[in-house]
Amino acid sequence: MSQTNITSESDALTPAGYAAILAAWLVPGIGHLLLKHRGRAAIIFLCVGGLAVAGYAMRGHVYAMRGGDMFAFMGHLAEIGSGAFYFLARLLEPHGADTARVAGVYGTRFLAMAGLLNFLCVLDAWGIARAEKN
Amino acid sequence: MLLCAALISVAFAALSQTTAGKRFSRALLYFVLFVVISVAIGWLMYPFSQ
Repeated sequence: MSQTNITSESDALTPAGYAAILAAWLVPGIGHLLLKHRGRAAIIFLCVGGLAVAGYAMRGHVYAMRGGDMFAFMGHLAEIGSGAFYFLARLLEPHGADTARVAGVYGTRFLAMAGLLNFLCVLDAWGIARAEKN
Repeated sequence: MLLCAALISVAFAALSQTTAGKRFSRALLYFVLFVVISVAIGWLMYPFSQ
């Protein structure tokens, strides 16, 4: 019985491609910069960074890995997408979240949105790396 | 909501288009759609808030 390989040899990325994808997650826009898409890199950095900084300024909730319930875990998964912005927010968080006010609730959504948007950008970087390789 | 819609529209346009002109028009379209659909959903939910 033959076995079908889902990932063929031609689909595998170069080490530089993998580095670009990892960089795209760690610092939004850097992956595209490494792949020589400067305009897209700048826009991604400003948009993801703008959302993350706005969320942090509104004192949104920065979820920890051990949040307790499924909602907190999903919030953590979404927020960790923004890479360095998430880790900076965790590191700098001086006053903690203020979700008792409406701004804090909006801030939490902004932080999650920044992470999810950056996940899309990572996928885009992956697509570009694959296209350049072939 | 406007800030969020603006930033996401610009990012979506940058990811989906390659030229500056197309990016601008697509970002504008996405932004308008974001705002119009959000307000529409808000009004649709209004009866349930009473």
